[in-house]
Amino acid sequence: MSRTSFSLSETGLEDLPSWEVPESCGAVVSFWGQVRKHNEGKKVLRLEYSAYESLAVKEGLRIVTEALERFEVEAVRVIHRVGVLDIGEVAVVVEVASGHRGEAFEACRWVIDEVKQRVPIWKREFYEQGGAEWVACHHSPIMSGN
Amino acid sequence: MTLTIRYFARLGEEAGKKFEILETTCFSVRELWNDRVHVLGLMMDQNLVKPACNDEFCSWDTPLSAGAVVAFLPPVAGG
Repeated sequence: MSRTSFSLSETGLEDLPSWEVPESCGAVVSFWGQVRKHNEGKKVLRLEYSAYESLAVKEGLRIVTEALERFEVEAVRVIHRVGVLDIGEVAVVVEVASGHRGEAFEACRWVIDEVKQRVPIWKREFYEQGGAEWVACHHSPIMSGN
Repeated sequence: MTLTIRYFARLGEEAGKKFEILETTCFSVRELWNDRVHVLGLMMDQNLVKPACNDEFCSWDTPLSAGAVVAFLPPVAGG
């Protein structure tokens, strides 16, 4: 079984498929991102994630592979939702397994930050007061292919 | 040559379409973007857009070839 995976899911992440953690690992850190009911002062009803799927999976796999190179971790799994999500639904799960907890925490933080900045996934929020907006990632660098 | 162009998220709204198949004489990805800005009235600052060609990120100077699938990506917001 591969020690790294990145996938997109059209179905809920509340019941994840099982993940085989290497027996050499003493720590597993999980980050779950879920849909917040408000953003920048507006009440959010639901949101929709869309992705450039083939490139999102490629870039996501590059991130989890880089994580194995940068940190003393043994396995990384990321699953990101696409489609319409209600408040409280899980949007993304990052799991990292390592020998000890320190590297697992550090790598988990790094992976979710990279996913948010690099993977071609977009979020559209629908508001209680009406209307919808594409959300800009505030941490996204000015991107240019130059 | 004939190309496919994909527009994602806010750029899809600005373009009024998610993709188009286009006959063009544009040489580079940059020239194609400038052409589409002119024809479709795209509003987004080019500095915010990241181009891709054939399912891989590319530079604005990437030359176009027949059958290529070019994508224009607005700032991402996953997570």
